[in-house]
Amino acid sequence: MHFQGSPNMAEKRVKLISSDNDEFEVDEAVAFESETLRNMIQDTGTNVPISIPNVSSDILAKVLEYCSYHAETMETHDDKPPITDAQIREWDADFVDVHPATLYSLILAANYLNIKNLLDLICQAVANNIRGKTAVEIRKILHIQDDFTYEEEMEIRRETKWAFD
Amino acid sequence: MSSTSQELYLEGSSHRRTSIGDSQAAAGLVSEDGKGEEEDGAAAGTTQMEAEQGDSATQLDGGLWGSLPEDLQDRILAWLPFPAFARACTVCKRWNSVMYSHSFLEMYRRVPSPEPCFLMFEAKDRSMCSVYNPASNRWHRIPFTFFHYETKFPCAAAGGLLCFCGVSAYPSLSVCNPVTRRYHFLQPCF
Repeated sequence: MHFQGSPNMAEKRVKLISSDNDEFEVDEAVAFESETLRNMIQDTGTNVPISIPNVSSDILAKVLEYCSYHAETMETHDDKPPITDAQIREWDADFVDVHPATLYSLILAANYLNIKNLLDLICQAVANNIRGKTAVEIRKILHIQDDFTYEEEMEIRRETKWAFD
Repeated sequence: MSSTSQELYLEGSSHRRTSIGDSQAAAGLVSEDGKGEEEDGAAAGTTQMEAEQGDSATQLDGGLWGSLPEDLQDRILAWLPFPAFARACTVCKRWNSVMYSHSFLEMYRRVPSPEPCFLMFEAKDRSMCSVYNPASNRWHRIPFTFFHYETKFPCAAAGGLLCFCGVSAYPSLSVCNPVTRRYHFLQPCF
């Protein structure tokens, strides 16, 4: 699978291998969106394919779609108007409008590959999802144990009562 | 401005980086372009938001999300808008203390500065202050019992922190954070 970050053929290409052994080839600029890949490439160069053992091909394809779009937004073309911030926000909003299971795999992949903007984007999407939920609902989703004693719970409820009004 | 009240803004932007250590969330955790708009109450909010936001239409379930690592939970918390963050503090002890952790505050720095909130102190009832959150167009009444300011008046606000000036013969300054309920008396420099 090929991702065309830019039509510049002089640019170095990087080969990436997903956990299920699919090979992806991207421009170096696209791979550089990931701090983890940047460090690996700087260590080993672009000749050796980079194996990403904990990201499956469908998720890696999504991540690279994000990286190539954002690498492209950094470029300037004489014949094309620059991509506006509003366009990027709209694209990003569409990008995270996916099934929660995909979003979960994406957050882990973005964390492992250390793509800060993607991680922020997903975290914001999840925060938007849980912000209207009660503490009981949040505990259920994230499997968090209610570890307050009765007295502590009463006190914290008193302190944060204003936030529930 | 009423003569019986003192009003000031909690400026959330320029001083945020320097004073972040104690100023968590006081001025809100609201994102730009109105995404941080707060909903009405916890229970009613869920359905309303599902209708409004595409990415919230599908429900997160406990199957996968239950194994989300704690550092990623914290990253998500950093994106919660101001009242939702205070409500999330009631989830568990760790979340209740997360705003004091340096690693969390590092993440919080990445979140775009919210619009500043507007604070109003009443001369009559000093156990409360009223906070207006422009992102949600709502008022909140925050208890103000942790810090007695009968002999002081609020004189400045920055990065979620409030500065009070004493009215006694000797000028004194104190700084407090209404959300973390912490305060410090500043030593005079003479």
